[in-house]
Amino acid sequence: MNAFGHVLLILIVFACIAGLGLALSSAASRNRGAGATKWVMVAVYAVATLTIVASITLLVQLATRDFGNLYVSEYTNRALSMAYTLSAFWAGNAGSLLLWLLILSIFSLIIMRQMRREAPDAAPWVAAIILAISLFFSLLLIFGNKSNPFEGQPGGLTPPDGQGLNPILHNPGMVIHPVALYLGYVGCAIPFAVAFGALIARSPSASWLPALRRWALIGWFFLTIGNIVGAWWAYVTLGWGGYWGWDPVENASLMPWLTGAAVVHAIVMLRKRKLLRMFTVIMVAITFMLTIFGTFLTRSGIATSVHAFSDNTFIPWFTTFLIIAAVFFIAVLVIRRGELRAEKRMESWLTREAAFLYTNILLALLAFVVFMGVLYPTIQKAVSGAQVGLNTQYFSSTTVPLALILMLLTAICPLLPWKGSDPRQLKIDALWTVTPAVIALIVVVVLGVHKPYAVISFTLATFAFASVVLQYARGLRNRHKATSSNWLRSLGGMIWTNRSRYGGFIVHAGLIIVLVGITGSYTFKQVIDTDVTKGQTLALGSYVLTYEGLDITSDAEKTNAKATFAVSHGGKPVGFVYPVREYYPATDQNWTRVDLYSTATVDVYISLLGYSDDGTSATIQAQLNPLVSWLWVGGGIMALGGIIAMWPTRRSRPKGAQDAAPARASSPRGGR
Amino acid sequence: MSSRAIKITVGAVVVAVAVGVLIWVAVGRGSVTYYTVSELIAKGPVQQISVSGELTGGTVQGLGTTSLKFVMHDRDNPDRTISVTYSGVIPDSFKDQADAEVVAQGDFAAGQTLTATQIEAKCPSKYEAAK
Repeated sequence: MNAFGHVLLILIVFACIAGLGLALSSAASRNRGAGATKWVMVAVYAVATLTIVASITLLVQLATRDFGNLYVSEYTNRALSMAYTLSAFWAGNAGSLLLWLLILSIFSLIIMRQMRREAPDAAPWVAAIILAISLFFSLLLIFGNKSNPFEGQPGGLTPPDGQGLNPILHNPGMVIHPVALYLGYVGCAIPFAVAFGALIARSPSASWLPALRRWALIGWFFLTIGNIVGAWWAYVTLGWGGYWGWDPVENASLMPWLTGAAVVHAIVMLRKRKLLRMFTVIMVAITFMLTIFGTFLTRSGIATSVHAFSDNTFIPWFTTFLIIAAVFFIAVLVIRRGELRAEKRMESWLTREAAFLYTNILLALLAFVVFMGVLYPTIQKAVSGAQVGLNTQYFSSTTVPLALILMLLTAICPLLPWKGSDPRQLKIDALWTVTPAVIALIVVVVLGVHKPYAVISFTLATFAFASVVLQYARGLRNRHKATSSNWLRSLGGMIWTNRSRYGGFIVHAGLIIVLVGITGSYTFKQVIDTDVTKGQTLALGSYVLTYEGLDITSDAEKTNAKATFAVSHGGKPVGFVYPVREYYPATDQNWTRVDLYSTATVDVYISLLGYSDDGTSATIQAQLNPLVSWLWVGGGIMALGGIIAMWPTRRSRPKGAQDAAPARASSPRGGR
Repeated sequence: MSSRAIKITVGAVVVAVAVGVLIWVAVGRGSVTYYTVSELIAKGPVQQISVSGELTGGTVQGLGTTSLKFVMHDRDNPDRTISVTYSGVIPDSFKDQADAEVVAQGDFAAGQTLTATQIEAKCPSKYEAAK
């Protein structure tokens, strides 16, 4: 099986090279019809098929516990359940790289079909860029250190059992978080291929903007899910009660999320106003490079973190790739600068158009300060030779003020008139949104919140939320009047007919909820470290915890100690929390599994840190984490908004001229 | 220069300066210098630092509680030692294992004692990629 997988990897390399040659020759030829890209498509299909077969091979090896495969034996063992055994596909370096290639090759099938239909002249170039990226990953899989998932055992001896999966990965988050992040990372590669392929081919923007928009949204959507699930996973498994630690690898997935959001907003301007053309293309390229940087940071172990699969032999690989990508992207921008020259100029600084620009700059700046934080130790070392790092203070001091300005823009932007529209509306809108914000400010201060950032955050959040509600209310009233259908139907119709606008506002609402959750959890967190004896009670905020005892069980794999805490609120019992401490004798590892009682306003979060063997006493850390559940709810709402915004418009299929005609008639509005 | 170009330039300069100041202030607040145990002893009392070294066998007290005490020594000069106190959640990777790699962050005071706010232990675990 190992040899078979190995051969597949080699065939992928050849298919990539052949496809790259075909794509470039097709791009160079004068014949730009769909027929010219037929052989390129064969290569794209070949790469995808081979990668899928290679992935299935690895899955089969995992499922059959083929410990002759080094990767399988390093990340699984016989005791591991089937679901986690299969998820070990992406538990280590080699499998993760294969997953990258797998997702890219599947995405390439979808985008290439779309490009051949919508922008055939750009299709060969798009294919060439995607195949070049695939070639990089397939070469890395074969020649990188510990990156071939089909490596056999050194010495050829098959061990009777594998080493097992790190207990930290025994969590449903393991199934979702890496896959979602990779879908997001790879999703961001597609807009890069589309934008630069189209730019080289000089395709009219109307033909490729829909594809660019859709894939930018897809990439951003999966990064959102990946980050939120990652935060949730950290919160429920890592035991320190936090969901975000400004760990370099977390930063690596935050940066493309921020620049990806800038891309999505810039595309709105590009479609509607033909503005920000150069900005869009640059942000697309930066987002792509940040995803590669992110993959690299995770893989290279430059940073010590919970994510580190340390192996710095990857540095030359990714550095080379990033340099090639940067040279390519700058060269294309310079050569095609004529195509990117602005057709229009922004004329006023207080219009919706300008607010979009400010939002985009702010998102880019947020990514920039995070980037500086990630690179600072490396820069310092190069400049002064000193070994200096940055702690979370750096990140909170830089990102919090910028995030607050972003929240202000989220509130103001939808209120500002488009250029040339009636500015009188602004006064009425301001009244409807500033009033709730002022009320929130008073309520928050009266309730005893005095930390300036928290007060500002809650006030701006109310302002921004009111702004979203106002947009919905106005749209709904107009639709209700115009269609005279009932309110619910009007709401549905309104969202459905303008999905990008109203989906976008749902994303904003979700983001505001997330930011409120972050503010609350940092401002009002309470932590108690203590020893408790059986029957003892402990006050935590307005909650009372009672330690009811410990249940210790052992099996071949581990010893499992499960404590029971009764939680009561206002004298009434509301639930139980069962923090667990596991001990894995085979590896002499302890594993703290926190448990929490979660409500809409607070989480009671307990980690079991130690216990006496008879279970009469236990050492715990109990935390009261306010508003953390808002992060998960807000994240879910953001994902929902993303789905609405990227839900495809029904294409007019070329069945009858009737369908096709209006589509053609309406396309110039798209931004040619 | 047209008035538009001047406005854009002024705006860009203002934003660049603001972000520069923001980063500069944040670096001042958040920078942590890394030392080895010997370097730290040579340096003397200092705040907000990170020190790496190895755990001295048999010195660990308080595992399984929330207040930990241990001695760590320099990797190359095992006779140079500092004692570390820490309260909070002890990472699962922290074990009483002689010469395990330890990184502690906190304030270093006179008497070779470090009050740590964060500790990390890197035991020679099989989950890490081969050295």
